[in-house]
Amino acid sequence: MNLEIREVGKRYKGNVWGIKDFSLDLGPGILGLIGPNGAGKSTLMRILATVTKATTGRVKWDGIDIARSPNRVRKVLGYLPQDFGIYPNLNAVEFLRYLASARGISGRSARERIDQLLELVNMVDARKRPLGALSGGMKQRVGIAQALLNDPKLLIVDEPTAGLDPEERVRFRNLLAELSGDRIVILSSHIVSDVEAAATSIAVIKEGSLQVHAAPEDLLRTVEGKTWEMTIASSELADAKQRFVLSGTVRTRDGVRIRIVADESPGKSAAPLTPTMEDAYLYMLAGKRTEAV
Amino acid sequence: MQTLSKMYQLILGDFRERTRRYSFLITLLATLFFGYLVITGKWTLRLGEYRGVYNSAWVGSLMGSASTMMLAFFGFYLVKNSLSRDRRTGVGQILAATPLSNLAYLTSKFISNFAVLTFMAAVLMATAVVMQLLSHVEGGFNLWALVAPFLFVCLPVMALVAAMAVLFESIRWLRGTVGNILYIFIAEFAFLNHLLLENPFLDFGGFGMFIPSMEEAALAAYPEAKLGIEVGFVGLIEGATDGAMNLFRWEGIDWSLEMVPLRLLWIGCAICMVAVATVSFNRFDPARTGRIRSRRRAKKSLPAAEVVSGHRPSARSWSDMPAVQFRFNFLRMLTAELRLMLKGYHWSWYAIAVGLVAVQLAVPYDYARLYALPAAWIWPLPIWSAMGTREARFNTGQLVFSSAYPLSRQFPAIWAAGLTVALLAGGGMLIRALLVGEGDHFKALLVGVLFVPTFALALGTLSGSRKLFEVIYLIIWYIGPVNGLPLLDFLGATDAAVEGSIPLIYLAMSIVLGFSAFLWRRRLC
Repeated sequence: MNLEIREVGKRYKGNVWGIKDFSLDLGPGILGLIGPNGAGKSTLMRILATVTKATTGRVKWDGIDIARSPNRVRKVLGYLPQDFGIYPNLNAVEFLRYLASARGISGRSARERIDQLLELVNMVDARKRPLGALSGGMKQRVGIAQALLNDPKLLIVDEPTAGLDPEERVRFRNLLAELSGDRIVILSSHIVSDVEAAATSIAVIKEGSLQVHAAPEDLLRTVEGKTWEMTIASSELADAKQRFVLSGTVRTRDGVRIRIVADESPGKSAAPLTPTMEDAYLYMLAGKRTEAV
Repeated sequence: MQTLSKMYQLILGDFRERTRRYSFLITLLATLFFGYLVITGKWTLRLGEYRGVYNSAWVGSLMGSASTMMLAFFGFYLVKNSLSRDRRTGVGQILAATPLSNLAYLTSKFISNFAVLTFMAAVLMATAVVMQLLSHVEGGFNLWALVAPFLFVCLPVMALVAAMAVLFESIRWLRGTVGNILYIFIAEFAFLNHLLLENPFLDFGGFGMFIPSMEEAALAAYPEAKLGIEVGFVGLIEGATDGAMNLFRWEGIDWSLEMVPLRLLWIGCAICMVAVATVSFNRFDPARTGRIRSRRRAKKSLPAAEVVSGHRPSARSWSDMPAVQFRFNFLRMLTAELRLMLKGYHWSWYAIAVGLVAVQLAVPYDYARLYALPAAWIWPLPIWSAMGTREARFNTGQLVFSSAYPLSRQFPAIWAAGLTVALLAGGGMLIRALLVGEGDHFKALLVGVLFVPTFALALGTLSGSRKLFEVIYLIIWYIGPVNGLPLLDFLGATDAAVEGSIPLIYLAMSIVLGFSAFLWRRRLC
């Protein structure tokens, strides 16, 4: 099982590139795709889900070009787009049955699976409510259920925790951990903690280009000895923001306690800290690349 | 002053948003084409075998009236989307949270609608002016005679259309297909009812003002003339071609001080209509929509604890879920499509649908064919018009098109579901035709069953919107099966259509439309 992304680019109107020269090889495991808004995450997701065609480059699923033979990957694909709609007059069961029919799942299997998935995403009590009457978080859970309908070998989830409350977010993270194994999961998010909790590897994307693809521990290693904490006067905060990569600020009685990611100690009063994935992510976004994979 | 400034920004933004849309360009091109047909005499007004020479007064009046009719019929559907867009995009709720009053908001929408329609009318007027300047005009070019009909006939009606669009969008049950159907009947009544033509205040198209004056001019030139009135496309008017007409000079009407205020009164009526709309406008409050009411009803049926928390530990684990079995079944896909198509209507809708089929079976054959059948074929309009548009309308395209074989599985199922609805709608008549041995009518009806859902699917897939099919179908349905014009009688409701092999034309069209829909859908998949 292999997903090969080779020099993929997507050009939109006005010669704007959503992603450019993007290359990545993926095997079983969970890839966390993180990047700021507009970095090109959703564009990449749509290309991988065969919804959008790449302008340049190729994506191959087990050696087969998905642009030429999209149905080869669609048969094993589970896809949760970032922004998806529902049919408001159908309830969750009817909606999932509709999509199960479109995906060629046999009748009895679809019925059983839908019941089980609704249990899995904690939607049993709302299964007969019209989807148009559900809250955003509930709709998102129906979205998660539909992505898992066909027991996908390639699961692409774009901002899956958007709209979920903390309890459901944790539940989803645990589900992702259960899912990993003999499948490729691509999880896109701008919430670093969501990705950190589940991913076996992390790709940072910025302005349509891959900044780094590394194991979480390798990413953390890049900022080892580069995370600091110090307290400054409130009036100095603006200047600090200009000079350093700040990964956190807390107001205190003495001023502002700031968390800095920097190659060298930012000042005499700075104390070293244990780095987090968010520090590593911000460090990468600030333009620091790593060779680690 | 601050409110005016806000309104100006709102109008400007709305106008820009609309005029940058593809649908605006298409409507503008269609309007220009219609203007060309009028100027070149393909769409004309004649008084029996007599018509005026194409001087400024004749062209201005003809263009003014024609563009009023054209924009009143089609322009309404172009502008009736402003509030729904704000509702869909969520901009409405943002605006609702500002101090902007309902009246100011709806007035902005009205002005923006009016600006779009006026822009179209102005383009037509400019076309008429340029064409007149470029061609040799008998009696010289007269700008006032050319422009006045636009100012006093077209613009007041455009104000009325703009306000009606706001009013229809403010009333929940008029927002969708029901409003679209109702409007076409209102417009048809307003423009084609002879009683209204005789009343200068209710003479929307201006024909009631122009024609008596034209008749006077014609009789002055040809005292023995037997005059009639025919308005429309040259090819569709029976009798002599345009070239064989007896020509006369007409210098237009005097826009007296009595006449002009009467026309401008419509603008006042339009403003009143906007004020009425504020009563039914819900300011984008979802608590005042049926959907939320149904959510409340649904919540009531749940245990209180569940409503508050919504959580319960999941009993299911991914690892204990059995493997999925795959076997595509077209019948199941068709059933799912039918459920999607037919769900969400009030019970009375289904009751009337069944009643219309029963009427086809109960009344005498000819009555069933001429009246019950056309009535039964307008009822499923909201079902057919949704075909091919759902993925765009509900933003489900990414889910549907990332499934395997969407083109060979889901697409035929949509078509077959539409076909099933058509078969059910005309079922009573099909059985009757078979029983009484009306083989030709039976075949014509089958072609209708094939044509309508195919047409709907093609236009829905192409435009991504229900409106295009709804407007075109309503016009064809009204002129064809209801009024008996054989060329547009796709149901074979008249003998002339069946005997004239019209069903064969619709069969050929169905094949072309089906193929076009398939090709267009392939671009999306």
